[in-house]
Amino acid sequence: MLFSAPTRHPIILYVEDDALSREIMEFYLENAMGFSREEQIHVFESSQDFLSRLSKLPAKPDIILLDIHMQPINGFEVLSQLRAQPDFASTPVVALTASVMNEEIVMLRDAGFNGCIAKPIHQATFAGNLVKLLEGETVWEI
Amino acid sequence: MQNLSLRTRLLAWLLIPTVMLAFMAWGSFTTIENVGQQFEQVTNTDLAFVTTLDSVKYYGTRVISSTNELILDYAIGREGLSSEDEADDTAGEIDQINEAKTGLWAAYEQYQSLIAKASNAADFEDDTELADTIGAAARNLVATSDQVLALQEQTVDLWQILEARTTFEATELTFLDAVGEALDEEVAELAERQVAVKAEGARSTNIGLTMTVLSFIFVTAASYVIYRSINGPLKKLQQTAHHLSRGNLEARTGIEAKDELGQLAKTIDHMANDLEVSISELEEQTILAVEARERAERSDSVKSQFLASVSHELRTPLNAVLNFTQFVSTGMMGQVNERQTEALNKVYNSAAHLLDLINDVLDISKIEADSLQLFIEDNVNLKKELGVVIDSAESALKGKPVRLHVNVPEELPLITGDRQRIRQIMLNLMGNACKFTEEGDISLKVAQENGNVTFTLSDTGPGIPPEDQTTIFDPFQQGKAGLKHGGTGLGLPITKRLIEAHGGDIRFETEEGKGTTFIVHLPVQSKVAMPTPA
Repeated sequence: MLFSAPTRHPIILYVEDDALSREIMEFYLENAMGFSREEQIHVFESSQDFLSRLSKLPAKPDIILLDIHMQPINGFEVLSQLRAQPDFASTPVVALTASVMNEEIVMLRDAGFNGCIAKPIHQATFAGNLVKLLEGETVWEI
Repeated sequence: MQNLSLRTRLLAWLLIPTVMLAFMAWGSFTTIENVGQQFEQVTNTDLAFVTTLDSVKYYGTRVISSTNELILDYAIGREGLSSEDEADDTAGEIDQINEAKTGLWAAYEQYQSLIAKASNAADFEDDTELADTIGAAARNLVATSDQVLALQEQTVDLWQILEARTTFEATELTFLDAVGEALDEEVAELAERQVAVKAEGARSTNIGLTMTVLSFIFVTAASYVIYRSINGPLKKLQQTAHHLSRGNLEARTGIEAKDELGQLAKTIDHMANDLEVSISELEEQTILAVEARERAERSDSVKSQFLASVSHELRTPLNAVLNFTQFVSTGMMGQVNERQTEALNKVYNSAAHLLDLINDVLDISKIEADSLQLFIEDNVNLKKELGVVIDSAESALKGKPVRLHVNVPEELPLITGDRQRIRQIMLNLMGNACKFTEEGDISLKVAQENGNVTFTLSDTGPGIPPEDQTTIFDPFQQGKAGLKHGGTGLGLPITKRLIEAHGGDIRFETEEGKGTTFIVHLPVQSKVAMPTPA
């Protein structure tokens, strides 16, 4: 393991429609950061899937990782629906994007994201950034 | 009126009252003179007549009374009642009579001369008749008076005295009548004249008043007409100008006259027409310009979307390559031997290089398409970014006989700029220095001066050959050194544009075979040259 998991076990929601990306992220979170796949990491394969199962979550999440470029409902749309619900109004939500253009960063900030991390995931820095985000900081890493 | 020139009208407006005034003045003076003349006549003629006649009467009366006194004296003396004193009295009476006679003739002469002077009067005939009558009466009076005087020498009896008296009385009465009549007439004439003069005076006053009123009305009317003829068009001009200035371009003066105001109106109307045409043309142009701009914006947004898609499509597969390779090579997916690790590292490095290329190509595309937008923050910590750069330099120089010298002040200001891009700039320049310098020194000096932060990066690399010096900032123009070391050929062009986007500048000094120094200025308060979204 590259990093030890935080003493408190955070609940992470992860929404991503690309299978390869999902595999990478799940592998990393489990093996590099030590999170439990069953208890802590909840993966959703589409935005509709995510939104419909939102109310049935077993526990309140500590962070939500959200792919931006999803169809038909993109990450922005998901966020605005999320923020409309009082339970998720202040949950840290991180955008994952492969096309980081500077204007996109501004859009993400204005939309209410707490940070963004670029794909391809840079393993050396991802863990550190995730910890920061879990601690309530904002990270804009492209 | 409208076709008379303004000058003429204004002149008339000025002159009409002036002329009227002059005319009125002349009228007044003439009238006063007239009345004065008449008054003079009254005094000189009529009054004179009366006064003179009065004199005649006075002296005549004295003759009469003195003569009567004398007669009385005779009567008294005859009765022997006279005394010595009475002789003196008688002498006195005689003197008086003579005196009066003299006076009478003098007055009469005066009267005659007056009549002669007034010979142009209408009642001339009557006057001379009267004068003759008076003259005759006077002569008779004097004659009878003389007769009485003559009695003094004689001794007369009462009867003679009475006779003399009767004769005298007759002449006395005739005289008095004549004079009385003349006087009455003259007095009547005088009264008449006075009335006439008064009437004349009243008439003159009336005429004067009427003239004044008429003149006043005329001047007022004329002034009003002229005023209207000027004011009307002036108001129209004023209103039209007001409407035009308010943007109501359909306003027109509606003045057709040929005078100066009409010409002005014509000019204004033409101007309004031109304005209307110009404004509608301008509106058309504006619409076209707005449409063109909207098209350009749409095209920009299309370009942006394209770049975003390209970026996404190219990077997603690389995500898999880079990360799975790392998972395996770091042993997370099971044990790997050294050869496998080496092989996987080569895969990783190539993929990383590919990612660099993609990033650079996307950057240069953005810049070339003018779509580069900076993410400006005003608290970029240079120290921190420099730390990252120096770390990466140290790891890149591992194993190479190159010394790294860093001269950075304790206090560096927080600057305004795009954090990522500033790091990119420094990484690129330092990366080049590390890449190209095989041995020697690399020194980085950072200083603050004149509102700028100055970075001076010197190396002892191969230097830039003269033929490459003009093109090192052009995309894909790698010098021969660049070709040797790989790289994208885009680093410096991107770096230069990023620096300039922050309002800074970059230049270099180089000597082939000795080394290169890059000098970069970045403003502390970046005057951002490229647009940032709000």
